[in-house]
Amino acid sequence: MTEALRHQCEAIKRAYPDADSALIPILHALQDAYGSITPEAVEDAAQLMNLSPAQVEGVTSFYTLFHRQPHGRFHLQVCDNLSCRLRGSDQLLAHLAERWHLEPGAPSRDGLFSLERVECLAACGYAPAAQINLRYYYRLTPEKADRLLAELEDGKEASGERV
Amino acid sequence: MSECRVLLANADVEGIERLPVYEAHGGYRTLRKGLTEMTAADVAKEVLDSGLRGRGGAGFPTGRKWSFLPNDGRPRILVCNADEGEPGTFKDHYLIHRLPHLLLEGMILSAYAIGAGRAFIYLRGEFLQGYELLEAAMAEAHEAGYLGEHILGTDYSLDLCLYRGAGAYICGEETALLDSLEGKRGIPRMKPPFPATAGLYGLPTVVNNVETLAAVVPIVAEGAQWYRTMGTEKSPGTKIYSMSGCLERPGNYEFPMGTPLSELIEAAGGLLPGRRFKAVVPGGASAAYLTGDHIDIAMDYDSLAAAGTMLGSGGVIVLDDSVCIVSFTERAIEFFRHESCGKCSPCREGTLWMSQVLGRLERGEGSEADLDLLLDLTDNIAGRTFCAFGDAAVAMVASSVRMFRDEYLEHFAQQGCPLEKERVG
Amino acid sequence: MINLTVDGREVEVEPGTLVIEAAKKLGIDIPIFCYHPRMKPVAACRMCLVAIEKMGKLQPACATQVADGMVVYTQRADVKKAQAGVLEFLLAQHPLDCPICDKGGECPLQDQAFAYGPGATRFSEPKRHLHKAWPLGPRILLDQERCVQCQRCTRFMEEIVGDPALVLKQRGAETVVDVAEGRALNSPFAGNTIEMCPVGALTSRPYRFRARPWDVVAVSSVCPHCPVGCNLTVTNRDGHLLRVLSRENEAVDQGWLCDRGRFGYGFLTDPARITAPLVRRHGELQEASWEEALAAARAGLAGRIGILGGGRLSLEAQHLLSRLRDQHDGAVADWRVGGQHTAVAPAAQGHIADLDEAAWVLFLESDPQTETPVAWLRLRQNVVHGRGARVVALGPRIAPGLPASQVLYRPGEGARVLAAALNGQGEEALVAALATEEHLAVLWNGKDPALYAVLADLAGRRSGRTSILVTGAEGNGFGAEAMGLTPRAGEGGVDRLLGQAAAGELDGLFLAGADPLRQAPDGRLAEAALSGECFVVVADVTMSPAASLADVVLPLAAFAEADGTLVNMEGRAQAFEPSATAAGQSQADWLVMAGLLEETVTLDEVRAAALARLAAFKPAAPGAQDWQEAAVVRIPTLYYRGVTPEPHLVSMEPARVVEVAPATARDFQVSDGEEVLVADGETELAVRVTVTDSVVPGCLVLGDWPGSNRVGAGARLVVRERSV
Ligand SMILES: Cc1cc2nc3c(=O)[nH]c(=O)nc-3n(C[C@H](O)[C@H](O)[C@H](O)COP(=O)(O)O)c2cc1C
Ligand code: SF4
Ligand code: FES
Repeated sequence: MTEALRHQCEAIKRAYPDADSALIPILHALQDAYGSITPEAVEDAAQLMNLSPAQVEGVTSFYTLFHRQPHGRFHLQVCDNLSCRLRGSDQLLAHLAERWHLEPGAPSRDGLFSLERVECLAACGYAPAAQINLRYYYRLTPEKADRLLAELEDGKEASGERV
Repeated sequence: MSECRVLLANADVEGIERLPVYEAHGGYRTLRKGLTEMTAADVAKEVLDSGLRGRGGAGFPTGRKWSFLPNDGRPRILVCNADEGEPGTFKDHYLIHRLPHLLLEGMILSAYAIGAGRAFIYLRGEFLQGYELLEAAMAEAHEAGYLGEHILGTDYSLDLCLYRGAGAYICGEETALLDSLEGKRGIPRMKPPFPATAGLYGLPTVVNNVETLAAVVPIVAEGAQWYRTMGTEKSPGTKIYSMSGCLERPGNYEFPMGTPLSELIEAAGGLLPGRRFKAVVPGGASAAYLTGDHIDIAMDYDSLAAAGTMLGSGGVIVLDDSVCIVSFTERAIEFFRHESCGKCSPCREGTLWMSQVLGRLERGEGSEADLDLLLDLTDNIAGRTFCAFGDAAVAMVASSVRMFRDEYLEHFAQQGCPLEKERVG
Repeated sequence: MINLTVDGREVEVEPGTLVIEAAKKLGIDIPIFCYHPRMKPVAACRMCLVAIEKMGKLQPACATQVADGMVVYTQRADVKKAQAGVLEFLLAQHPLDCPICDKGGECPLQDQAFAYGPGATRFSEPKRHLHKAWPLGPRILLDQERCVQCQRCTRFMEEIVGDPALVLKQRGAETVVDVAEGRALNSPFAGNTIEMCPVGALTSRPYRFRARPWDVVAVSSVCPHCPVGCNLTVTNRDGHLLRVLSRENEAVDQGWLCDRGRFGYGFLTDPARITAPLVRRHGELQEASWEEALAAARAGLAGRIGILGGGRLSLEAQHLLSRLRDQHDGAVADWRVGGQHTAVAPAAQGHIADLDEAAWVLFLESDPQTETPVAWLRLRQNVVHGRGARVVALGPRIAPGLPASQVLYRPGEGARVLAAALNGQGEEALVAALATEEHLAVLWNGKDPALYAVLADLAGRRSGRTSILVTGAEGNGFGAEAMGLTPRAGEGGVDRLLGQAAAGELDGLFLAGADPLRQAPDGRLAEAALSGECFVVVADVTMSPAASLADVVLPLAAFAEADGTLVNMEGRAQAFEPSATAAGQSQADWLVMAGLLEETVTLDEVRAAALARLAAFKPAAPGAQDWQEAAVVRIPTLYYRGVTPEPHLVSMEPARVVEVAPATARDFQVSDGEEVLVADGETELAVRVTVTDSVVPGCLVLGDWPGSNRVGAGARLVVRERSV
């Protein structure tokens, strides 16, 4: 763990009146730093929080946002739940597979894009909804997705949309 | 009938997420009134009298929930449940991203009312943008003296913490939320003790939904009597209905409680051209289906309960005649299978089993006996699980078999989905 | 008191009682999986759902507290349907591989499926596939497909042991029990999870596929490995010991075992087992008949003789051994080969169950987690979940395990520190512990003779209740002391006898189930003693290093192959029965002693005599020894290997470490983790340094592995020269 990361984690611990609450925020920070929940991240968290590594793994494996495998630079989370399905999330996913060769769970191509089918993103009224690096994109038609991904390929950042 | 915007009155104002704009539209005036002109008990009384019912799903009267806090001198905690994940529900998402200061104002007032010196906002992990917006809003509120030590120069201080979950629907259940907030796997806790007596870190805790807390602002501003002029006797006030699915203009619409379903659908632009109404899921994926017979049902807690379903969190998913009930229900149970925490056997094994059976039925593999099996499985889950998740998981399944038996039979007869065949062929 | 009705019958119970316990009081059995009476309920499996009047839904009997006037139904149709429903769910994904499952025949899931199950399965989907035969650690395998997620094992590790190394991972239908990636479950208590598992998910690696429950015979036994004396059920087939299970005794073990007790039976089939009497002929040990060997032993044990050992023998053998000593003029006997001073409390003899109630606990130079594991586990429940006893740990080395106030002092200073504290001087927590009116338990390792009198004084002076328990002795040390196997006034102890043997002043030495080479604090003295002119007779189970130097070797049956009685640390006599056929020609220890005495006795006769003697026993300070352990202290261990490593306990053997205080490390210029030599001019031992605040400066604390007793006072740490 770098000195800076340790400081960041210690600051998180101080930010919560009861230190136990710091575990999940610390795991977010470690995952951001390491790119995924690596064995090193587990050890760091266990040591920082005075937990057993097994306890940390029990927690990380419970939550879908913690991942063992690294994601692409742009990680797409496409909602495939009820309302999005009614508004074409399946076509969107099919399009991403066909045009961008993005399959849920597959390792990213060139480390650039990776794709995950996710449960309801609480954006059902703006379906199909998706997130890229946890930034919202609404009413994501295949055409809009093409434009967006092309821009990201060209070096734009995923900054999301306003609801 | 047109919308009745109370919470969402200023939702479309440009820049309303910033403090100066929010203040220019009356923001934090109610907080000042509450803290400087009213005692905590006055504020609590106003909320109790307003008859406000919790918007998180169960509809429990908020003022009564607050009154359960024991008077034993222990520090109290307010937790805002912003884990919104119920399929079909997206009102908290909207409130947080559009009106972060309204949520803060409602929380500070509520924390004051219940005597909490510490509060948490538990945001679902995916709300990273919301987290940043709230973080910025909290900084502004601190700066302006609305938050922190000696709010508005009074004796009241509030330490508010923002917290991001990490992806688990069950953390919306209030006790699982508390475990998650304590850095654990989000598993529901045994009740009793209820959070009011032993909640976060064993301290007396109130958990309220985002919309519930936001509604406290207009209630304190305009008074309980005014609030009761809207909605029904038993479900007063307005409700933000999340309208989604096969609609022309899906979105959040605020109406008085008890507004007929047909009016909500109309407000949302009606059905798509050429389509016929088939069914509605009126309260998120945890609610049972309603068919066309109920197109004019009053959308409030009691009317929907009487019809065998529920208002829940107000996520209204409209289905037209292009939708296959079997495949739609299968998708719902797939969600519940994925989100079961796994603690208790009926839920863990039952949701897996139901999703396996429905997957098969959707492919047209099965027989009528499977429908009886499905219904019996839902019987063995409902009321038997550790938390209310089990009841939620079976509602759509059981009602789909009861209301759309023919559609299942059609799948067996055609060994596949008739609508799918129509679409492809 | 609360009155309620279960199935139409009234019952009165304490407030706070769970419905399941109230029903049990009426003899009504409610089926369960996750509930365990010694752990907090989780109400996860839902097997125990019952109907309660005025409650809308069925309620879990395992987690619902009784209320006055409550009306409970356990047999109603809705309850029956719920039970069948839950079982159907649990069995749906279950592999149903009972024919090849170790649990088959003694499986609660199997039994309940018969009693409450739905009959035919309606489940026709593909079953989930998870890890099978997944090694959690050296002694336990997990079959994740069989697991019903009752969390008994994970809760046991966290709640009871306080070592959350086993957890639930994933969620929903993917939930599995597992250890952390790349780690092993190596807790000394982990074996209990095998017995707690209500299905065949957790199984014993040594027992795997060895037998089926219906072709084994179960025998009551007692664990010989430490002075707790946990009660055992030993199962055998065709005279072979197959496994060891707990046999709950509320007063002693509460149904728990440590892994030494559960898995430490490999020595029965050790290739080094002595299977025939041996006599040294032409400088070589050769097989002989019992008559010949006994005659040779009797002939050799003449003149000035010493008798060492006995702390591991049965009470019956100890009684006969002391008679043997009495028959020999001038013979001196001492069981305390390992440097123990006593196994019996000087006063206020405590009971293990006192550990539940004590408000204060003193760890007096004691490491109870290692010396008496199950007693420690019991104490832990008090500290963590019970009345919250405060622990004060004293000594040159403070053992890890429980939160404690620490008082460190140099070896030998204990009596002074304790006496001062009795007079109100010294560390605050220690003074408070001694002064309190509340119940104080003292766990003493029983080594430093100077502490004997101070403890007697302490017990007399305190007004509150005192319970003293000695943790450091061998399994039957109490019995040995009660049978008088200690030097009498004016006689020297083990150290003097070894010195005499080394100096050629002793004619015969009888090692009764003891190996001074391995056990004595001064291993080099022991070696000198055994390699001298003295005639040495060894009675033992395996061919120890001492036995291989002997003139006569008498093979003893191991605990599970013989009968006898063991007396535990609280003075409780517990009988054990044979469950396996004795190896080769080996014989029960008491029979061998009778043979040496040339007497024909029955077990009942000897037992009656021994028990009468035990009943009349009054503790008295045993004769002193003058061991010098000033600079080197050894970490006690329950897990040292015999001659051959216990295959399943290797991972628990003491590490080759030396623990030192930071100041000591600085003095010797060594650092944590470094490989060094412990050297005293004569011997060098290669070890790794552990720097810790739990050791007093100036003291070297060595792991107790074979050979670590070969360095003595004046030992230093030297950095190993790296070879080219
Ligand atoms: C499975 C499950 C999921 C839930 N999810 C949410 C949620 O996402 N947001 C929410 O506010 N309440 C949710 N609830 C309801 C909460 O448990 C709790 O009743 C609510 O937060 C209380 O707030 P209220 O009184 O303001 O409605 C959920 C309940 C269950 C059983
Ligand atoms: S392994 Fe056994 S004890 Fe552990 S959760 Fe599974 S069934 Fe229960
Ligand atoms: S024994 Fe009660 S729920 Fe498991």
